[in-house]
Amino acid sequence: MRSIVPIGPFHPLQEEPELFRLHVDGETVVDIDVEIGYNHRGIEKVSEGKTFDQVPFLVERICGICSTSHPIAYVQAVEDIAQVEVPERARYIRTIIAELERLHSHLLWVGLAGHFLGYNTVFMWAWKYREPVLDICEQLTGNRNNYAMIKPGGVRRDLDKDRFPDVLACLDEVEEKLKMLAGAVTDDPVLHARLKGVGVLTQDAAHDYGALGPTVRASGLPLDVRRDDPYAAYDLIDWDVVSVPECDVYGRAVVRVLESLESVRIIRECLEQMPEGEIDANLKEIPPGEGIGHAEAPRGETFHYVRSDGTNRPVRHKARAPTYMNLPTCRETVVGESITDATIILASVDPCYSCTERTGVYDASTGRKRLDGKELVRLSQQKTERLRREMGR
Amino acid sequence: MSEKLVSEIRQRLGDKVVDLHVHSPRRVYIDVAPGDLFATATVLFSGMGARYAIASGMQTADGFEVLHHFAFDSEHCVVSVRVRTESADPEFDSIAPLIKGAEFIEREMHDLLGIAFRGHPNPERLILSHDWPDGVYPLRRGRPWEGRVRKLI
Amino acid sequence: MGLKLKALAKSPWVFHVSAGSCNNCDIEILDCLCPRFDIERFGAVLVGSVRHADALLVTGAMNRKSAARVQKLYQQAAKPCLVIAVGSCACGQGIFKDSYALTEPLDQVLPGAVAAYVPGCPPKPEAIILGVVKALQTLQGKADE
Repeated sequence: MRSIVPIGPFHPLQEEPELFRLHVDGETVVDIDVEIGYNHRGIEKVSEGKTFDQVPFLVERICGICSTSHPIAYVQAVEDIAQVEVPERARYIRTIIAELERLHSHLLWVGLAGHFLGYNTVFMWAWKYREPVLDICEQLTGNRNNYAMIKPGGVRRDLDKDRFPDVLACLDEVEEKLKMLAGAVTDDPVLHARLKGVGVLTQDAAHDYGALGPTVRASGLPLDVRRDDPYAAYDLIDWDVVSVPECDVYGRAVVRVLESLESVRIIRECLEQMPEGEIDANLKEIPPGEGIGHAEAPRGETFHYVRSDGTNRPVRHKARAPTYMNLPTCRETVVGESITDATIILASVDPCYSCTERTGVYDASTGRKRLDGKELVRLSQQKTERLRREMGR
Repeated sequence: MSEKLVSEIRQRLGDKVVDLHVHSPRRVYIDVAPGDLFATATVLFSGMGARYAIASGMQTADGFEVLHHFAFDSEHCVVSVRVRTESADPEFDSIAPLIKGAEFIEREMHDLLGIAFRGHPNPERLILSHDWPDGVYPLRRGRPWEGRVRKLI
Repeated sequence: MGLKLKALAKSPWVFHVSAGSCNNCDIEILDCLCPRFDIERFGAVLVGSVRHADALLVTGAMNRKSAARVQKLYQQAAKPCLVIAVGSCACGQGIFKDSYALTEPLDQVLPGAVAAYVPGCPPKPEAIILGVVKALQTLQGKADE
């Protein structure tokens, strides 16, 4: 992406609030502050004013890229209260939508990682191959994002099997590209030099912070809600949890690429095995009680807790996205590292892309601001260039 | 699959368990006295290796409660620990000194519900904007911000 | 649409800011740069500083923490700088309207500055591009299109 970046010791937006404040001594990060709240929209309170049936539309919009994991987790919390069985066909449909989302989410991350590392062709390439997946989502559900498919008790609309050949053709194409990508990542010595041993999150630290998703699976802990508390159709099909022992940024990249290939496999199996039948349990009333639902979003476990008092609105709704647990791990993964690696380490837990740009670098002894997020990205891209030259590539 | 887990938890927690309710094979709720919260968290998190998932606080008809949710992934079960208080100025022990993953959510519960957490390493405002007035807790009953917060920034 | 973009006298330089968005709109904006839509063919560039921008794409429902930043950014932009509200949240706060965590909608955070509203949740890249083109054409006096 071409961009014009003003570089200098003094930045005109110095007083701007930042998500990440890196305190540096020379080139080394010695401390990091995290400030959140930039996307706080008071969703839990808004939820109390919606009916149980309206809430999925709300929570789908918590996060654009983990979009469908929130309604899936929420409706499971409601189904937990009511102890209702979701029809099998609906479970398969939920799985297909969730895995399509995982696919385009991981491709998005690959593109962004490519950009941060200075592989701009990877950015363009990954986002190009996202498009057919988004087309499929639109064909099946009516929208590229925000599918409005999930409801308490089932799904809102059926999938049209006439569209399945297109879906399978798209999956074949994406799978081929993903395999190329997996090969490229595992074979590129410059990437190895950039990502191996960088941003290490030990198993103990991962446990301490409650880390989730690819972040924790790349630290040798194969935690995956799809296997640990199976929902939708995950216990009806054959698939594998992807986990590597690396603990570093390289490991997180490998996990995402490999589990994208698993997603392709899961969707194919679902399309093949999906039975005919009802798609809605026709849940009419939610009894008083409390329920918990969780789902494996692309970034990790999405966790919803719902309390009902027997009326048609939740009396309390707690929604927790995976990044909430993963973000603080930066205290372990970035401190002690070079500022040239800060961007890719922060990006490796896959937070909202715009969040990593809201970064400021401050001199630890004087407190003066040295760099902003965009400049930090530049440093990262320059490091790759330098390594390429040194390694003769 | 939660029976073995439940008996192990009962055994390790002993008389800290005020009430234990098995809602379903994968959902267990345990009530403990606020004074036993930290010890209970230690048993589940450090002693039994549970994953800390999140906490949810709420204002109830007669006070406040906090639920800390622990995931026993290999046993396919979520165990939620509840503490309650009838005080209008709710305060519980922080479990953040034990579990780093609890730091954010305790700060958030303070922001939104006004629940204080004794011993929290960094009890600063987390998600509400800097210009949000103290003492206005949006997740409490009703619309407590009305008339107390300027709409325009 | 392609011809319309070409008809612009100047290649549009665009700066993007999010004020409490779920990121869906932000991703669709970035999508405009990618091979399928590829607005760079027409010289459209996503710039790194608002000082160089002809247009400011704003997403988000105006969360209190982020909205102040939008105001500061707009002040720093060289005028004329057209503000384009991208997405239902930027247009009117969408499903989050009346939330305690939000301030006023964008067109009251920046009164008189919003040149175009592109509704959608999220709007498709085609719609975003069309919104930018229509807004920029008002700069060239082609108000009828």
